[in-house]
Amino acid sequence: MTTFRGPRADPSGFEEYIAARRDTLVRAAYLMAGDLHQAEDLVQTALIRVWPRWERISGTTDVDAYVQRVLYTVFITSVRRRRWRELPSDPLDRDRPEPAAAPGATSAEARMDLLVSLRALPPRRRAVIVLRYFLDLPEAETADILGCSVGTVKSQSSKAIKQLRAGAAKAPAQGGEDGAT
Amino acid sequence: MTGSLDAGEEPEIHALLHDAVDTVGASDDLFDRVRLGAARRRHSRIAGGALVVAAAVGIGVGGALALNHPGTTSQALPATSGPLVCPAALPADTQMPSGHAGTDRTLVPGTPIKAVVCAYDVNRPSYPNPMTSSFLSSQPLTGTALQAVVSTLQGATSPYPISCPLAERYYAIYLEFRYAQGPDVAVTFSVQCPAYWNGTIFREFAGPVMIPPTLADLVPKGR
Repeated sequence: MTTFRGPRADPSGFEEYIAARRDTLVRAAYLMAGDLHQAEDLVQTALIRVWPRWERISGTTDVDAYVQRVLYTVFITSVRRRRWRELPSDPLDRDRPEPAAAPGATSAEARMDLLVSLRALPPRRRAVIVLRYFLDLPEAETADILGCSVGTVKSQSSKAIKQLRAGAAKAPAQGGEDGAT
Repeated sequence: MTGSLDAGEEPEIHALLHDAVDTVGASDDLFDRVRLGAARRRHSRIAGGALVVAAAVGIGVGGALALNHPGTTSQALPATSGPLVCPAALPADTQMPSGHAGTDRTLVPGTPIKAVVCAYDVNRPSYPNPMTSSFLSSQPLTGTALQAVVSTLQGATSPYPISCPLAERYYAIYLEFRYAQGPDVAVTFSVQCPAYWNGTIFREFAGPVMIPPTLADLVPKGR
C-alpha cells in the first residue's frame, strides 16, 4: 500500500491574500480564458506556483505584479499545451450559467459581444487588454509582466481595441437591439 | 490592484470589462485546492530530487541503469507484500510517490503482475470542509485486461499543467499495481478531470479524449 502524509504548514498571510484577491484573479483569468472552469484552474495553478515563494515575495512592494506575472505565464502555457481546447467554435462555456447582469450594468448583449470579441483576439493581445483595462496596470508594468517593450504594449493594445471595436460594430447586424457598445 | 487607467484612455473598455465579469467569483474552496496542489507539487519535487540524489551517489551501476530506463522496475526497494486491497477512502489528495523506478516518467512503469481497481464516490464540499469519499466497488485486474489498462495508461504522455477537479461530487478511480519486484504503484483519476496522477507526475491523454474506453469501462455508470 502506498504511504501518505499531510501537507506542511501554510505560509503566513497567503490565505488572507487569496481571500482578498481571488475574485479579481478569477475574473481576469476568465477574461483571458473565456471559460470559468479554466479560469479557476489557471488561478489555482498560478497560486500553487506562488505558494513555495510566498515567504520571499510577500515582503516585496508589489506582490500583485508577481502573481499577475505568474498567472499570465500559466495562461500562455495552457494555451500552448491545450490548444485543442481552444479549437471549438463556441467562444464561451455554454455549460455554465452566464454571469448575471449587475444592476445598472450594460446589457447582456453588449457584455456577450465584448466577451466574444475578446475571445477572438490572439491570447497575448487578449492578455494585454485584461492587464491594461481590467487590472488597470500602467503600460510599463504590463510590459514587464508580458516580457516585452512598452512600445509593443502600445501597439498590441491599439490593435486589440481596433479589433474589439470592429467586433462591436458588427454586433447590430447580427440582430441584437442592444448590440452597439 | 495597483495602477489606474490613463485619463481619457478607453474608459468604455474598462467599464465593459468590469461589467462583463461583475458577478464572476472564485469558488469558496480555492485556498483549500491551492494548499492541496502545493502539497502535491512539493511531493513531486521531493521524489524527483530523491531519484537524482540516489543516482548521483550511485546505488550501483545496475540501479542507475534501472533509473534511466522507464521499462524497468526498482531493484533497490522490496516488492510490496500483503493482500492487494482497496483503501477505505480515496487517498488521492495525499498520495505520495511510490518510490518505484520510472514513475517520474510514466504513470505505470514496466510490467505489473496484477492490480486492483477501486471506485469511489467523492464529495468535495467547500472549504474548510474536507473531502470525503465512499468506497463503491473493487475488481481485480490480471492477464489481458491488466495489460490493456497498463498499455493505455502508458499512452498518457502529455504533462498536465492544471490541477482539478472542481466538481463537488464525482466518481474517482484508484488503481494499485503490484510488481514482482519493487513497490506498488497507484494511479488515480476522476470522471471530470483530464489529469491522471501516480503520486509523482500528472499526465493526460493527447487530443480531446479525457478517458479512453479501456479506462472508462472501470468507472461506475451514472456520474
